[in-house]
Amino acid sequence: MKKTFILLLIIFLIPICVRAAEESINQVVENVDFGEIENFLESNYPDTDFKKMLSDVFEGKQPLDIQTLVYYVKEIFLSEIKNSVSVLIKLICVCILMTFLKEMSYFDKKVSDIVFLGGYMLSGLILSEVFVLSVEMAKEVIYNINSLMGMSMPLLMVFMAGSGAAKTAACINPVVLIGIEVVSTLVNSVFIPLIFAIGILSLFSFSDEYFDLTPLLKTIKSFLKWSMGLVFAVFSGVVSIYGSFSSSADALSFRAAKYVAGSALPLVGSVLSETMGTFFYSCTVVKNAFGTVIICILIIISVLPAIKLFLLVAMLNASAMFAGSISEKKTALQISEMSGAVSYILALVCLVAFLFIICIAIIIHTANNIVI
Amino acid sequence: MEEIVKIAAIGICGGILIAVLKNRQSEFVIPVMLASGVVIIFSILDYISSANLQILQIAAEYGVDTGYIKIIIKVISIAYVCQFASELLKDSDMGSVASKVELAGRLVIFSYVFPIARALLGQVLKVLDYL
Repeated sequence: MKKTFILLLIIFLIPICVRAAEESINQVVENVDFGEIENFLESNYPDTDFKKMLSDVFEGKQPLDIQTLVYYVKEIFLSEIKNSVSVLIKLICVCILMTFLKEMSYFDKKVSDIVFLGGYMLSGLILSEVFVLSVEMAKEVIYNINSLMGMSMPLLMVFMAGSGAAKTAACINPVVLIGIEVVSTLVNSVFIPLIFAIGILSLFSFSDEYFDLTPLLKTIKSFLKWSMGLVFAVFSGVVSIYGSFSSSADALSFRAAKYVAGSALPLVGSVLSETMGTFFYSCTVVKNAFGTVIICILIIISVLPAIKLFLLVAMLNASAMFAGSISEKKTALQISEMSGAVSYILALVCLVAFLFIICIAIIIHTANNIVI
Repeated sequence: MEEIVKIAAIGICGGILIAVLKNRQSEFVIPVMLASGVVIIFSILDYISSANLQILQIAAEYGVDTGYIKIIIKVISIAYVCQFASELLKDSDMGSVASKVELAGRLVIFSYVFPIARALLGQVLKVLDYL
């Protein structure tokens, strides 16, 4: 009889406890102001519903359904191929015209040279339009990613401190904020100017008879490659090291506080310590959900420009192949150098997106181990 | 096929005529040479214009701005005409006139290419504005 009573009590109590836990999570969410992020998404990405994504994560659903994502990526891919094919057509037209010029090369060099120059300039003009388009796109997406990180980082730190990782939050907050500033400064004042230099030099890479620009281009490209890799490694390394140092200190403080609350206070001590634990757990759940949603939004922000840039690179490579086979070697070189510049823009967009995705993932993971 | 047979026949006839006239009435050699050259060029004009039209049609179909492509087609045509005239003049032992025709051609081509160069520089400055 006694056993049955205890069993019934447990069966009735479990839903009540679960409901109480859900209530505590909902209370945390209701008291936080997500207005800034919601306004940002409404003005820039109106299809993205932040609150719905957050509630999906709480309910255990995937905020970004893989099948839907694959479907959208496929749709974007196909529609963007149609948009970027005009670049290919323009360049193919120029290549066909350059074939007429190639036939002239057995004539007098003085006349054919100036016509060739006109042809190279025309292909340079088309390529520069492509370059400007891709730079505009990259600047916009990097600005949006930086804005989102600037808005979400304070909230993430509050949730982190709320989940008992006050020291980790205090350590990581300046590192991450300085990191975001340093990365955006490096991107705007070092990487983008270097990519501009590569783009502009590749427009004039046909002039190898007078001065060869290829060694200079190679040097700038290798410097850019190394510095981008270094920034990625240093930023993710510093965030993870700071996180691992302070999370153990937080775990110690949490256990000490829980023990003091549980043992020093008579009667209500254990209730208080468990309530404290529940609150910390709720904050951890909210922090993880919030971080997951921000990662999903970062993916949404960066996937469309990344596909567009990838297709532009593919179209430029196809044009370079075409130019190399039917037209002139220098046109092919010019187009392939420009495809290299656009692929660096693509790499920059991916670098910034991955950097911040990894940064959020490290922050989520770091403060997860405290409340055990 | 017929066209190329005609062109080949005109060329061969012109060549035979020039070879025959060279030793008998040399004053007719240059007019025959010029006439055969002009007839050959005029007979292929249709092909050149249809190739240019097709390039413009492809560009227009895909919504490509044809302004600069038209300029390049003009420049190529000018270069072909200029080269043809200069070659004919050189064949007629009038090298100085041929070089003047070439110079004129270069200047005319430059005046057409200049807007493209200006547009390219404008684009470069536009890129630099983003810095």
